[in-house]
Parts: sequence; structure tokens; C-alpha cells
Amino acid sequence: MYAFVFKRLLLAVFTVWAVLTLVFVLVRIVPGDPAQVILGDQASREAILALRARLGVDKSIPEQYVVFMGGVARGDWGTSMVTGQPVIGEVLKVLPWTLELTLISVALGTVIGVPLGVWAAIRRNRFFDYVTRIVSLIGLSFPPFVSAIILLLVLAIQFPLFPVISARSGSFTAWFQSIALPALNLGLIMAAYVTRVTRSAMLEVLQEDYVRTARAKGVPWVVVVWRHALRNALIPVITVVGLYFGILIGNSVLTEIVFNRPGLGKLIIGALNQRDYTMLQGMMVIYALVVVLVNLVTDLAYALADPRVKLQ
Amino acid sequence: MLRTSLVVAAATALVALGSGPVHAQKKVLNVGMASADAGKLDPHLTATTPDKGLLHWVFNGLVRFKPGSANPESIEADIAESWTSNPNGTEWTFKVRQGVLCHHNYGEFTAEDAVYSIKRAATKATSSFSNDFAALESVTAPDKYTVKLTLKNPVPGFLGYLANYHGGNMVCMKAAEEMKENFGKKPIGTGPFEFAEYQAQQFVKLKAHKTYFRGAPALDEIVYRYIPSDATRDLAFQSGEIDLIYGKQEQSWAERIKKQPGTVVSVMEPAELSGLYLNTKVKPLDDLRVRQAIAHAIDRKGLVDLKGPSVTRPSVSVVPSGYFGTDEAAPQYGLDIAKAKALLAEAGYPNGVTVKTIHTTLPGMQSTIEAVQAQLKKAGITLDIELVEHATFHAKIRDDLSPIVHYAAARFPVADVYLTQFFHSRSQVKTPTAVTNFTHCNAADGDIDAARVEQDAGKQKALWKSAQQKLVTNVCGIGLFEQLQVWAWRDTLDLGYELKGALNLSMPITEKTRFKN
Repeated sequence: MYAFVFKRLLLAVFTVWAVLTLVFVLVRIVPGDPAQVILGDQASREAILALRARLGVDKSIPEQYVVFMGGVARGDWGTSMVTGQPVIGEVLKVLPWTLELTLISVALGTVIGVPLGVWAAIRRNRFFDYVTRIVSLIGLSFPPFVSAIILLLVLAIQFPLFPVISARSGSFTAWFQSIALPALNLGLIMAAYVTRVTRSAMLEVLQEDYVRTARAKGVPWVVVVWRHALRNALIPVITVVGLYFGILIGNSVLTEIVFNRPGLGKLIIGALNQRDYTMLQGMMVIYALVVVLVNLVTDLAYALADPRVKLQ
Repeated sequence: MLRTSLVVAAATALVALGSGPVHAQKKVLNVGMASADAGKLDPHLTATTPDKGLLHWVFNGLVRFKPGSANPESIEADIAESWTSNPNGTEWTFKVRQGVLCHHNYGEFTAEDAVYSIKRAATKATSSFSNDFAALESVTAPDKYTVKLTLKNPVPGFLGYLANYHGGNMVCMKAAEEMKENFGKKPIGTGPFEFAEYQAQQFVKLKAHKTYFRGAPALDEIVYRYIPSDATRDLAFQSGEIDLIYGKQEQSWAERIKKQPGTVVSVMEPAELSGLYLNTKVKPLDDLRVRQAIAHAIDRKGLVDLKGPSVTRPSVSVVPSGYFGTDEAAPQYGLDIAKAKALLAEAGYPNGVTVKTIHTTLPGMQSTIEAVQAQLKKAGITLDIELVEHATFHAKIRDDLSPIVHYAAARFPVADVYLTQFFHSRSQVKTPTAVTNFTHCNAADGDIDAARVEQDAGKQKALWKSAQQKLVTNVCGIGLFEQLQVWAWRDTLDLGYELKGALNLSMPITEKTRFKN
């Protein structure tokens, strides 16, 4: 177990380094001058050159790479080229918003998706199953920015229950109003995935001999489904939830933009538009770390869900 | 019974939780700006629309454009209560008002602060607008309330450079010196509103400057929200969460938002001139006949119809109309497809010609270049468009990689600025003094230089007119259309003046701006 975790962590370090290097190269290959973007199109060439020197982007790429990696090794991610604030501080300032949204969406997607999938499997080829399959297919087909706009039109404009700008705090009501629509938007799409995977897994498990045996022994159907069948059907569901966590962070980019909610997504779009190299690098590391961590947790969760799985 | 009670309880809870959006209070102005976040909030550094749209509510100039006007002739006293200059405009003396206070208890604004501000704006390391002060020889403060400036040579419209716009914004010396590079994180000025709070990716909050020299503002607070999504900004306005919204320069947007009850839509100056800039040194554009053929293939009326006549008007020259010195009837080439084809054949391209342009993916600009592409096609000119995202576009055109550059811009409203930046050889891209001359055209250098030092206003205008005629007839640039600024706000908001234009691209929020009830 410990050896497994250690190996995965080593792999994570390598992954993060590779991601860092890739991002460092990619953001510099893309044409566009951060100094020009920051100062606007009327800035004089002298002002642009002065800012380039101050930002350090007038140095050669290898020089910049050495400076950057040296900083990373010391735990210094540099300062944002636009705001002049430390990157790590800027990222940590908005990271809780994205994590909050992602975690609540995962919870929502799982809480809705698993029971629906189980129920659809039990009711296979009956009305409820058809409805669930059609609705989940619609959910899968919706790009998150489209569903976000629909949610806003219905629940913020037609029935003004929630605000359009989802960035409030101070009281539970304000927080709830702030998180409800973005989480619902991401959670429902995820629920569609989870429903379909759970249904397929459950259908397979329900045809196993041990399920039939349990039924023959007179074990109540509810116990058979929830204790015997579901636990064995959970492995693919855990995989999907783990993988989807990464997808959700990606989807949160558009969701944060549409709901005008702070977060990594909004930060990354701003940094990309403004060619804020240091900020982009910092965020990529955070993304990579989160995805690596979630994958590690997913692997560990297999063993909890199914004792036959050994972590070596 | 139990089920009914649960449903009622759930509905009550939902209604209680969803008590609807928080509507703007009478003393708080919520503004929606099209940007993901604030940039550098230093008035001498930033030239972006979202930043300068906010900063002119925080800063004053020695003089100012009369609120609601972008016309240099409307310039009036601001921090300076009076001023004089010698006949040729090389020596200026300003009398600073007494009792002008800096924000956050940084003390009284005096001539020393004004001298510091002007020197800061004229320094390359601390200003993006140092070129505007290239003629500055000295600036001194003979006493606490007097500022003296000496210029090496006359500068057309120089007074405007000391207005509340770009380098003319006055900063408080003590604060700027204390904060140095961090000044942009907490800008300190003397304007009606002072910086209060910044929340990353959310808003900048300004509070009323209660000791503002023109009197305490009627509004208590401005919340300047960064909302990059057009759809979200519109919905937030519709739901009442914002009161003042930065609009799209599209007639369809203006018409749609106007349909919302209680909405005022303003289409205001300055107009951005959308133009084509042709590199006169590369083939086939080095042949005047090819450039003339392109000019003859452009249908300005068609473009205006496409964009919407309520927010767009045809160009009149290679300088936007209404600027001091614009030739309002420059001899632009008219639509004549047959002539365009004949000119191409004469130039040795009887089967047509292909020209490349590198272009931004910004939707408003992309739709223009695609319309131009369709128009040119009718004359046998194939416009090969390479689409790149906006920052890349700016990098590539400044690297002289695009034979035709489509650019839209508004500048300080004096012809000299536009002519110098877009057509003088000193502004040629890829040179040490580069600005935005993509044309390699120097046809009007002599006139532009002569006009700058000409004392007689009539002769000066004649020189600018001559410059524009040369540029138009040599097809260094082709004016397409002019697009005005579009904003909308609630009709309960009283700006306190008549809005016709605003050089900073957002309307001034003054001490008189208030909600009617």
C-alpha cells in the first residue's frame, strides 16, 4: 500500500514537471506579447520594451526556463505579469471557488446519478428506464455553457429565484444562491454520465449467479440490490467519477465565465488573453496536481469498494 | 396531509432562499464591464478600455473635457482654475485650485503634485504615453499653486494632453512615491470617487470622495463588475443586478436592449475608424493601380448596412470625422467594380489577384473583414484571411507580417495624432519609434511635420487636409466606416449632464450623477 502510494507520488512529480515544461514551451510558442497586451494598443514601443524587460520576457527562452525552474524548486512561482501579485497567492485566492464548485457538482452528480442508474437497471425496458435513458442522453449532449444560459433564463430571469452573477458570500442564503445554479449545471451533466454507467454496471451484476443465489435464499430484493449488487457495480462508477472530476474542472472554465463566478477557469481565460505566462504556468501545475491527486484517490478507492483489488 | 405539508414547507423554503436578486440600492451604482478582470489600474500605464473606463472616475486632469463631450473645444478647468499660454503655445502657466484633496488622506494636491504627475507621464519607464510629452522641455512649480511648462516646439492640441485622459491624469505624488510599482493596485487621485476594494475577477469598488473639491458625490459607491460573457452581462442587466452596461457596437444589440422597459441606450462619440492599411512596399500592393482597384471595390454603404446605421457611419477620410483637422470630404475612391477590374488588368492582373491579411478572431472585426472579402471578390481580388486570436494578431501585424491590416481605433481627437501614429514614417512598425504605421507610406510626412509647428490655425488645417488627400489618393489607407460607443443604463439613473461623447470610452460619473428615486 505505502509502496504503491510512494510510486504514484514519484510519478506525480514527473507528471507535474512534464506538464510544467510543456506549458512553459507552449505559452511561449503562441505569438503575442504580454507587454503589448497589458499596456494596450496605444502604448509606445519604448514603454513596451521597458515593460518586457521588467517582466523578464526579453531574455532568451532557455534563460527564462532556468529562472522559472529555479523559482519552482524554491517554491517561488513568480509574480503575475498583469497584476504584479505572487502567482501562488492569486491561484490560492480563487482555488477554493473552483474546488467548492467541483466538489459540490461531483456530490450532486453522484447522489442523483447512482440511484437513478440503479433504478433504471431494476426497471429495465420499462417506462422509467426509457425516460432515464432519454433524459441522460439529453444531459450528455448539452454543452455546459448552453445549459448554463438555459438555467439562467429560467431560474434567474423568468422565475427570479437566483442571481445571474454567482459570487456572493456572507450568509448561508447568499452562499446557496451563489452556488446553486453553477453546481446544478455541472452536477446534472455529470449525473447523466453516472446514471448511464451505473445502469450498465448494475445490469451486468444483476445477472450474476450470486445475485440469483441470494434471491433464491430469500434475501430481500432491496438488500440484494443495494448491498450485494451495487457494491460490485461501483468500480466502473468510481472510475467515471474520478475521471469526471478532471473533466469537471475543465467544464468549470465555461461555467465560471457564464455565471461570472471567480475561479481557476476565469483566471485561466484572463491569463491566456493577456499572455500572463507566469500565471498560466502556476495554474497548470495546480490543474496537474489536482488531476494526479484525484487519480490516486480513485485508485485507493477501488480497494475500499472491492477487497479483491490489491494495491501493489 | 404529511406530503402536502412537506411540499408547502419546501416551497416556502425555496421562496425564502431565493428571495430574488439583490437590486441596486439608490446610492450604489453597479456597472457591468466586458472584461475578465482588472488590468493595471495606473492611469499613466494602461490604455485598455476596461481600465481607463474606471480610472477617469478616480482622477482629474489640470483641465478636463466637459462631462458628456469628447470635443477638445469643450475643454474646461479642472484641478487648474485658470491657465495662459504664449501665442505659439510653447509656454504654459496653470493656476492650481486651492483645497483640492487627494484620496485616503494623502493631503492637498499642489503644483508639486502636478509637476510630478507630468514628469511621470513623460517618463518611458512609468508611462505608456511618454511620446505625447516628447516636446516637453521643462515643467516647474514656481510656487505652491503655479505650474509652468515649456515645450521645445508647439504641439497641436497640447492642452488636451493635460486633460483627464491618459497621461494627463494627475496622481498624488506622496502616494505614487510610497507605492511605486504598486500604485496600480491602489490608485490615489483627486476625483469624485476613491478606490476602496478590489476582488480578483469580480469587481473594483469605489467610494464617494466626500471632500471632493466640487462637492460630495450624490452616489455613495460604484461597483465596477468584470463580466466577460456578453450573454451574462445582458442577463445581469435584465435582472436588475447591474444599472449601467457596456454594450456591443452592434445595432442588433442596441435594439434588443432598448426593448427592456426603463432602459436608456446611448450611442456616443468617439467613433472608432475601421480602416484597411496597405503595405505599399510589398507585391502586388506596391503597384498603385492594385491599391486603387481595392479602394474601388469597397462598398462603404454596404458595410454600414451590415453593421447597422444607428451605431455606424461611413468613413469620411483616413482620420475619423469630427477630429480637429479632419478633412470631412476627403477624395475617397467610390465603388466602381468595372474600374477596379480595369485597373487590375492594367497592372498586369487580368485574371485577378490574391492578397493576404492576418486578422483577429474578434467577432465584430471578423464579420467586417469577411464582408470586405466578399466585396473584393466581385472585382477579382481574393483576400486570403489568416485568422488568429487577438493577442497574436497584434503581435503579427507589429511584426510587419500582414500586407493588409484591418484596424479599428479612436485616438485623441486631433488629426495630428491619427496621422502621425498611422501614417508618419517615424511610426513605421519594426522600427525603434514604431507605433501603428503598417503602410510603409511616407507620402504625407512633410505635411504632418509642417502642420505640427504651424502657428496659423487655418494653414494648419490646410496642411492636414493636404496630408489626408495624399494618403487617400495614394491608397496608403482606406477608410471603411466609423463605429460609435454603445452603453445602456436604467432610466432612473441621472448622469447629471447631456451625454454626447466621452474620450475615455465610458461616461463620466460625476458628483452630480444620481438615481432619481
